[in-house]
Amino acid sequence: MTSSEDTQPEPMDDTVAPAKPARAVKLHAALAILFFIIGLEFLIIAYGGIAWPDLLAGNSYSEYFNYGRSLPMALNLLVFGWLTFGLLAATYFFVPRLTGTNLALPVVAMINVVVMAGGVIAGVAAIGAGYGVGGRLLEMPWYSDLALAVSFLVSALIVTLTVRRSGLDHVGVPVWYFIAAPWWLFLSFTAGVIPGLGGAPAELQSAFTATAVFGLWIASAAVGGGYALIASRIPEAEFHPRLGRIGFWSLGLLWAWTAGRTLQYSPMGDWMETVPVLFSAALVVAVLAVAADFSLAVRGKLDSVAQSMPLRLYAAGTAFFVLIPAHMVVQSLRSSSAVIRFTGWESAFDLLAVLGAFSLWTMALLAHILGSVSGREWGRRWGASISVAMVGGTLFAVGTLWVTGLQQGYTWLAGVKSGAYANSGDGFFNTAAPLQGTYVLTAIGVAIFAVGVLLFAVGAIRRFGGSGDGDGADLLVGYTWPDQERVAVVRRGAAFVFGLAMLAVFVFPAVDADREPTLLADMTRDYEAGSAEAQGRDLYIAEGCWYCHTQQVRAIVTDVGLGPVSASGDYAHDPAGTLGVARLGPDLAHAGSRSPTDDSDWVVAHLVDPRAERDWSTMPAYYHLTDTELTSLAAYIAGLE
Amino acid sequence: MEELLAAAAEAMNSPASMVERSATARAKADGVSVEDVLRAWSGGGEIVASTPVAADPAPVDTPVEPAATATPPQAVTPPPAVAPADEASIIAAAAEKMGMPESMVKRSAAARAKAQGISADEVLREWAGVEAGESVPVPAPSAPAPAATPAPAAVSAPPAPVSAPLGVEVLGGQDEQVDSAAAEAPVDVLESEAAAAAAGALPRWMAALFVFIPAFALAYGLFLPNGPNCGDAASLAVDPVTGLAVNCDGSEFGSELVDLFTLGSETYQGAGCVACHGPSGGGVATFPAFTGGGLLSTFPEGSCSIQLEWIALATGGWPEATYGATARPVGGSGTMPGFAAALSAQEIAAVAIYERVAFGGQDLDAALADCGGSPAGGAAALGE
Repeated sequence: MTSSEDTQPEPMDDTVAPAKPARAVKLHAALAILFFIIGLEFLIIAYGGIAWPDLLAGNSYSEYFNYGRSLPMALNLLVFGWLTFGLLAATYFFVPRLTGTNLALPVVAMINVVVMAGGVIAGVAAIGAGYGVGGRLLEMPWYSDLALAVSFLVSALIVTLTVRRSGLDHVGVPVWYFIAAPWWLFLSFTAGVIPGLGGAPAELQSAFTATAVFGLWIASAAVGGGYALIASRIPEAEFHPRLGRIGFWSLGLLWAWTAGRTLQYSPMGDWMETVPVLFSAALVVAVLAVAADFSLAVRGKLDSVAQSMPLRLYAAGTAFFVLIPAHMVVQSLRSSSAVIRFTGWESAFDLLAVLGAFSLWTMALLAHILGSVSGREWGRRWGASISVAMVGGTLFAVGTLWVTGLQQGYTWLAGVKSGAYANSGDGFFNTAAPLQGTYVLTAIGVAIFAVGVLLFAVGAIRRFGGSGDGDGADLLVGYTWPDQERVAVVRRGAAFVFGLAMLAVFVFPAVDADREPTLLADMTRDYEAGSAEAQGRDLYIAEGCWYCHTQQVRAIVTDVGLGPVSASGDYAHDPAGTLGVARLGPDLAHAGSRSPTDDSDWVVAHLVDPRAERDWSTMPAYYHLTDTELTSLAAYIAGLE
Repeated sequence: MEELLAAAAEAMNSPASMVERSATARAKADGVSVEDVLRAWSGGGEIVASTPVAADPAPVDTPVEPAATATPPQAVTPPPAVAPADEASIIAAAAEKMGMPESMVKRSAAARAKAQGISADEVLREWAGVEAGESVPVPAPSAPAPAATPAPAAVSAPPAPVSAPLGVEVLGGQDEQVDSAAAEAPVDVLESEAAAAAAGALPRWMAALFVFIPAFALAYGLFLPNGPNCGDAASLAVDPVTGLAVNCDGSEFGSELVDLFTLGSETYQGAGCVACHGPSGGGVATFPAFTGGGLLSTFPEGSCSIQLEWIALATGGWPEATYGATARPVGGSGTMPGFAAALSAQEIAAVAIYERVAFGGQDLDAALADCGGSPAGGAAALGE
């Protein structure tokens, strides 16, 4: 029996209360919350930087806060720091309780989390110092990738061993998620960081990784945690006998296939653009199945939900979760994509998923865990203030980005149609000027959210001390899951799901994408190693220019005037990261074919003081680059004919 | 031991083999005997007498079969023993019901009582689901999941749940039913089980969505496998030589420039040409066909102006007895209305260009030059 008996004399404690994993769980949780706070700061700085580009200029190390660096720092901290650590804490906490055994290899888990934290810190610091590489959510350099891949593998093994040690061959819904999700994390991440692909296929590779990490790891682990959370808090909650099954398999099968939703009209094959519509629409079913299973289980017990801070947070997260496939469908339909692609809608998705659904969920799980291990429950008022700040902040930030995106997209479309507008240079003013104001609002939204997080962190710190295992966590041992499945079936199914996801969004497109270099690629983008242009391209990627500038011209009305339409062979000589994700600045695919960007001296001057000629520019000033670096970057941009 | 195992399996709704294995593992981990673990799991040492030893519902082995899995009535407690309603037992009952630690229940109750201006005792009683003065159902000690009543009861329940519309009302009332079941006849237990079975069904709107959404996705994939055609969703064509995005007819994109081919196609459909000359220009009944050289023999290259005039005036307004290069008799193959009033000059030119290119096989640039819609004119209008 554990030491908790002394401190928590609860009648149900005569079942097991594994205390050993508590230390590993707490360490994961503590690091997660730390990464959360730092990540949010960088997120605020990133959006604030668009509104006030010169705010931090002139201070030492201020280049760390440029949008092109702070945004990937924030997203990597939030996804691989905060959410991954937090959900691993939840996995290590719940799996032993669900299977009635102790966590396998608790010491290895402790060492592993240190390696993982080292990987995240080194990677994020490298991005900040200008050593980032291309690909969304893959910006960290190879040494961080290696550390993370190894520690993800170890985490998956720990969970697998724990389940094996329990001797159970039939397990309930949450255990399915906990068995599959860590493996999906390891496999998706590894598939994403395997080097060797360039150009358009590499772009697909990173799109796959970002999508799979969101759906197969974060969403899956958090949903599994949700089942365990509800069962812990409301033991009389009854889950549906089939919805859990529908949700688990469809979530895994469908989510990764939506990866092409941000590639509509891109230089990839046409079929790549139909698939995400199909699967985003079908994902509505998966998400509804999960949300319905949760809400049917707590129906009639809403008072318990309102009373319990973790359940309240979890419910708010689930509400945002339901919005995710809706957002995906809008992004992937071509008629709406023609308007909103490259606008604030791209970041709105990140905020909706990362802050809205995933962070609220993970916080709910950590709140439960910390309350449980410390034996100190969260007050109702804590829950209310935290969820109000976080829900309000997310809605505010996401809402402003939605509105901004629509405004920007329609301005582009109407401008080109009326013939009164050019897509580049001063003409871009029409769409850039109103953004500054709305990004202030986005930054405020994130800041409101951060207030909630700080409140949460204060409460969390007070709950790291206790040594209890109480609060009914052990109710899980006897909780009867209406639907059970064999562990082996879950494992095989999870492997199958991942194989299918790989095939869909990685193998097929890589084969399908026309990698034969086009004339354009051979003539203007095939740089000699060590040349100024090659160095310039590396800088272009490391400085994160591609978060605001695209290099792809689509065959649609909005892009008329930007030069020849891009083909996938145009990128044959490029690493991932040149296609770009949004247009806070004009497209640069053929910047070297138009004035004034064809003049590298003008580009240097513009990089050093963007607002000298164009007072509306939101671009950060790149005075921290050396003269050689500036010349290289300018040579690269002016050479994009 | 066997009895205990059966009871525990019953209580946990799991196969006995699995229960036995978990119990062994648990016992080893805790350093207690297997019997102790089983006793705890089966409901606190005593096998509830009212629980008939029924056939295992076996949802685990055949999880895909809805009939077998549709009845997980964990929430239904067997008629529990009654005890005097002292405060501690009320708190325990409330804590049990709400799945919260007692300390927290106590605290929340005090807060709620303060907010509502009633006594904490009343709040607790409400939460515990007992009336004042009534006896309190004592939760079975150390039985986390209340012992499940066997599935057969639910199966034999009247078909009431089927007629319940969406399960909403049924679920809403479930709590009361479960509460009253504690004090009343077992018939209520049956009813509440029926409600639980109904809760196992999907709400109808969701079942409809589950059918509709994949159907939509499938239809989308079937009918738009390669995305929209040029012209839909603001998409344009790509000029093979320059690589620039251009209008669907290959002319340069520009605000002043009208895509005459597309306009012609729309006009051909909209103005009614299609009724007599057919959707693919093959003619209908006696009305002349444009295909197979029909159009270009009457109005050969270089004589588009005559075609424009014919479309404007037609059989009613044509000043001569024959028309076109082949001297066709006016009215010889049916009556055609003049479109001078209905269409603008541009629309007439557009429809002529469309007919000549789509049905006559003339080159687009030649047709544009012939009928007066030069592509260069459009670019000039942009002021470039």
